[in-house]
Amino acid sequence: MKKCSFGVSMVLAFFLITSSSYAQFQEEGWRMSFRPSIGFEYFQRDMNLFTYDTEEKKWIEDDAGTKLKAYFVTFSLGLELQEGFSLTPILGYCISDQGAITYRRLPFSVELDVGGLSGILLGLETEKRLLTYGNIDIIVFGQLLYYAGNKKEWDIPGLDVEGTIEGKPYWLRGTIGPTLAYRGYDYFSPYLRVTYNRHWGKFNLEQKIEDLENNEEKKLIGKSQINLSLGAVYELTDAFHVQGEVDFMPHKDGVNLGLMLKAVYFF
Amino acid sequence: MKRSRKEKIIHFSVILFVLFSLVNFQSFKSDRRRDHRQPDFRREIQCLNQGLPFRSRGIEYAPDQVLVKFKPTLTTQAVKTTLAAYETKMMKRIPRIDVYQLRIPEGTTVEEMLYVLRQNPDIEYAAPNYKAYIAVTPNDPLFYLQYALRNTGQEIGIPGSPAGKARADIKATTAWDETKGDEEVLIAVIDTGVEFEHPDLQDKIASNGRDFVNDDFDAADDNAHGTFVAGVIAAKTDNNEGIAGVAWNCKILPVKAMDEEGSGYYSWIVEGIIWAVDNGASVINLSLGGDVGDPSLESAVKYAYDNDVVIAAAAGNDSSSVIYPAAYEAYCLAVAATDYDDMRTDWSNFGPEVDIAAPGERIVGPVPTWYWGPDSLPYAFGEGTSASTAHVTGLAALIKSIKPWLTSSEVMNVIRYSADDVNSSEYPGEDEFIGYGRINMEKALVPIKITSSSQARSP
Repeated sequence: MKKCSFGVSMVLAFFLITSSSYAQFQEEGWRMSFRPSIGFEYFQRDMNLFTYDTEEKKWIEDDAGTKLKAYFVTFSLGLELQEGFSLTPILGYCISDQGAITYRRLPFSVELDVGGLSGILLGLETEKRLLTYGNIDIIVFGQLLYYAGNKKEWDIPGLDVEGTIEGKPYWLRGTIGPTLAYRGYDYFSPYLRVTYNRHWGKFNLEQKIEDLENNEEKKLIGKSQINLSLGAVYELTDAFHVQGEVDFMPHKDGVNLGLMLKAVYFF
Repeated sequence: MKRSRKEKIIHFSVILFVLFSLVNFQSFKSDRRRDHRQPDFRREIQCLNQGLPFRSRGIEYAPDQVLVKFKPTLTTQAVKTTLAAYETKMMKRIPRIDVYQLRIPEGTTVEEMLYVLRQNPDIEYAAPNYKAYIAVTPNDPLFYLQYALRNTGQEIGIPGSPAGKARADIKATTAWDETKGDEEVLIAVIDTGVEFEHPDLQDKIASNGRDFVNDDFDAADDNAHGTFVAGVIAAKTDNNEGIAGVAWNCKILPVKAMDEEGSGYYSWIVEGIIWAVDNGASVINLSLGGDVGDPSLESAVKYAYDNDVVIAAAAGNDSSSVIYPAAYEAYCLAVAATDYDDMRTDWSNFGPEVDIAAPGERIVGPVPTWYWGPDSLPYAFGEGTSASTAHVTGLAALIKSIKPWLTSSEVMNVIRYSADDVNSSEYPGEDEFIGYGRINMEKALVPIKITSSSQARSP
């Protein structure tokens, strides 16, 4: 239910941004420009774990959580539909390490700690400048990223008979919030962004040992819901910009960090 | 005012440097914050230890010590000077690996000291002096005789008694880190009854049970066999008294189906099985059997199986074919016996029905307080597949405790597949002497670690 309302709110927010821009298009007309970019991002995130109880038919929170780490390279094509408004589809390759997760509902409990699992990354990003006060732009920013890991199978060691477990991780990250960008310097635009940020994922396992077959559903939810980003865009040339960003995601047990570097070409 | 490309690159580098510094600073801050929360972790750990996995205790280390290794190029004098500079005091040097155990200055935390030491290029590594823990060991005074649960190669009895082979055991202590059982899980011991007042059993009996020999509701033991078996399964543990049971917290449901001579009619056993199932048993121990099969007996064990009640049954002690009901392989785990060297005992019955084995030779267990008289400890050594079966029953009860949703067939398979094939050099794989092997509680209960080095493939 929560997942559903989160998804709905993200989609609504996205449409609010785009629809307000649509009215402007009517007045000013389309003025499309392209901004292909290549980026690298790393983040770590403390996640709460939940196991689906098939008897109670509900999710039960595990005693221990996990730390999700992800590294990804993205290729995106920003479409500046008018000045101050852009839509950017994202395609990427991601290595996501779900950390050590213990599955205790399978006939043989397993602690899965297999490191990074590769997968594809799909996403959509939008930016819309709302206001300008002197040298400060106020922009609304939204991003949805979806990671789908490749299906993997591992042997279960130490048993009298052969057995395997199989799993495929995926997660969804949604971000929305305002950006304050300072435009007072010639080639350098620092910015501060505070976003509402949700991270939700699943990593189900299926165990097969001779005639023993069972599966366990595991849900991961990011502990932090707020993301504070400090970044800057540097114009190396008129057509080539680089962007760097550091993310801080505080939660009651600590702070998670992220880092993003991006090179953007304008034409 | 256009700047040169060189200037732009310099500015960009400065910005990147500032960003990376921010990351490192924040990382350092968050590490320190995490370390300062250690006392809270300890409080949680105390709570977790009351029944939850031992390793959840978390990381602990000496609050005033660190272990440091200097680079081998450093002279002894240089090491001394360095230690003095940090105001640390050398407590000990471990010469073979050249590691120094240092006491850190008062008012400095281990984390602060480590941070400073790790900046020194002459130091190869600096680490806290971590604490390690032995697996759960109960304080029951006769536990040292229970080689079946933990075999260190100890003498099993008075000096001069036979000694076992280290690790020829069912790995109980490690498994107890995962679970000690749930008191809601009832284990029916269908036998000669149980002595309710025995100091190692008095708090472990769920009810006075059912006596099918005398047709009443008082399953008191008039033989000793039932008390012995019940104690091996679930004696009160960590109580400074007697022995440890396999399933510490599970409760015994006594069912008397064997008389004081140790024999009983099939009808009593059949009724006993059905009564146990209907009265909430999750596991049934049948350290008994007869030479012939019987449809009623088969129906009774099938009734239990169909109701997801696990039955462990003794294979028999005559070095011949497997007795009934253990021979009803579809519905029972047929249990053979191994000894303190992980060898099959020569009296243990064999046949294709044997599923599993467990220690059955020189097993210490409780006997009724009247058995030896008032001046002796109410414990005895016993042997037989009865004792082996009791170990398997205890394991089944522990599995049921943490995974009540598993069917009887699944529990039986977990026990089978997790066994150690201890006679694999002679009979690799499942065989008719010890089945899949000697049970291994650790493999059956503790999560199996799957790491990136485990063989992985894309399906």
